[in-house]
Amino acid sequence: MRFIVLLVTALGVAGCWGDPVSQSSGCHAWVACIRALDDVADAGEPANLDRFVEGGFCWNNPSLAEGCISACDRGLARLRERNDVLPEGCKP
Amino acid sequence: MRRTWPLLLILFATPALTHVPARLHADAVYVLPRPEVSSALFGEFLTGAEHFVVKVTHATRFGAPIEILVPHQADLFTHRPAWAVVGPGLPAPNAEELAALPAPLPAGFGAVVDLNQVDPRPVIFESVMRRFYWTSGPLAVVLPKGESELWIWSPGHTRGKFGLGYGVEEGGGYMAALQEWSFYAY
Amino acid sequence: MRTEAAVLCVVLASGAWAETPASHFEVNVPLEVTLVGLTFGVRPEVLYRPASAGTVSKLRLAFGVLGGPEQLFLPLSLGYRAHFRQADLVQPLVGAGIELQHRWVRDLPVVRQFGGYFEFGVAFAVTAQLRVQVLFGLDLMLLGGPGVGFGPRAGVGWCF
Repeated sequence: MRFIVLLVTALGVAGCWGDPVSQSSGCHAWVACIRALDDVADAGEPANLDRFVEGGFCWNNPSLAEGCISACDRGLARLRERNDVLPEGCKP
Repeated sequence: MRRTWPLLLILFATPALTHVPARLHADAVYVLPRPEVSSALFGEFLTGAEHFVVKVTHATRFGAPIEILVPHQADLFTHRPAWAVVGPGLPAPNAEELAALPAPLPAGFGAVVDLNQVDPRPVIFESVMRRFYWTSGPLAVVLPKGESELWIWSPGHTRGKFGLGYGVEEGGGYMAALQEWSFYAY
Repeated sequence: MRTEAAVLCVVLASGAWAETPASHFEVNVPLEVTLVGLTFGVRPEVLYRPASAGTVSKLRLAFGVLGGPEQLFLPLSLGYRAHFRQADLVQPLVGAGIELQHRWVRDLPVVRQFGGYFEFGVAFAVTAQLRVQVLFGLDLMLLGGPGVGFGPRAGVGWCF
């Protein structure tokens, strides 16, 4: 029984569900583009993009990060494709 | 009891590590109770003509990834539900998207639409329910301040289950999943 | 039929199910259903008792082949099983170990998860060598995507 307790405890200690990762360049660019578009549109209160910025929830583990990276890449491509006049912050 | 605490600790710590699950019904608008927390909203097209609506209210404009999932099962290979965020201040959809919407856009509203056309369809593994899904591919969207709606429909009028993945910050867990276990798990 | 039942009762009552003293190995072939990530299949296992006969501790190695509507599931387990009351008809089992899980679908690279498992159940001694086992397994994956899984398994085993 002691073996089981030790094993569970070890797994629990190891159970960090994956290491945190750094913000992707795509999410950095998507956040910058949203901010730039907001400036152009004089949107006032900034959008809450906390989860996508460095240290945000997206980067808590590799699994979450994978989804966010894909979301930002697609979001950025769409912004670039659908805005006729791109502010500097949105350009590749 | 002292010997079982590590197991209990782990099992009860995991609930903070999943999307909040909920079941959608086509005949009732679902109001997202905690829009700042990530959700997995599951439903089923029984006729293919359903239009699911989720109301979302944010105090400020809110960036979130959204994707639609379909169980990775052979008979659902052609099932490609679409989703849209509909609300004031959003851009106008293009002609194809506008034509595909399941209902007219209210006056003054725009929409971010994903018709789920990525090919080949990406596949993901969802480790909580241990299921594989085809995904539309997550798309980062900025939802408007105030009230907006998520629309889910089946452009090809195909039938079958789906799940809408919304947001990042996980606050759900196994206990919530138990309420509709068979619907979420199989 | 009544005669056969009576003979079986006598055999069981006589303690003929007691384990062969010299047996160090045991092979079990249980059928299993995983209830999280639905799959069905077999999970054969080999157990080895390193110490003398009658001791409870056994090492376990198991490999499963299970299929379901969405995936092929191939778990590999290495662990410890305590096998109590081996001279009785009903023999409690409890165990734990580490597990590497592989999940496969056609259009995605194999998904690998690693963590631990726990199991508990009973073995019913049919003869000195033959057993029927019923167990319930619980696993907790930590690497490669967190998740908890569980499911029952049942099958026959042979000691030698």
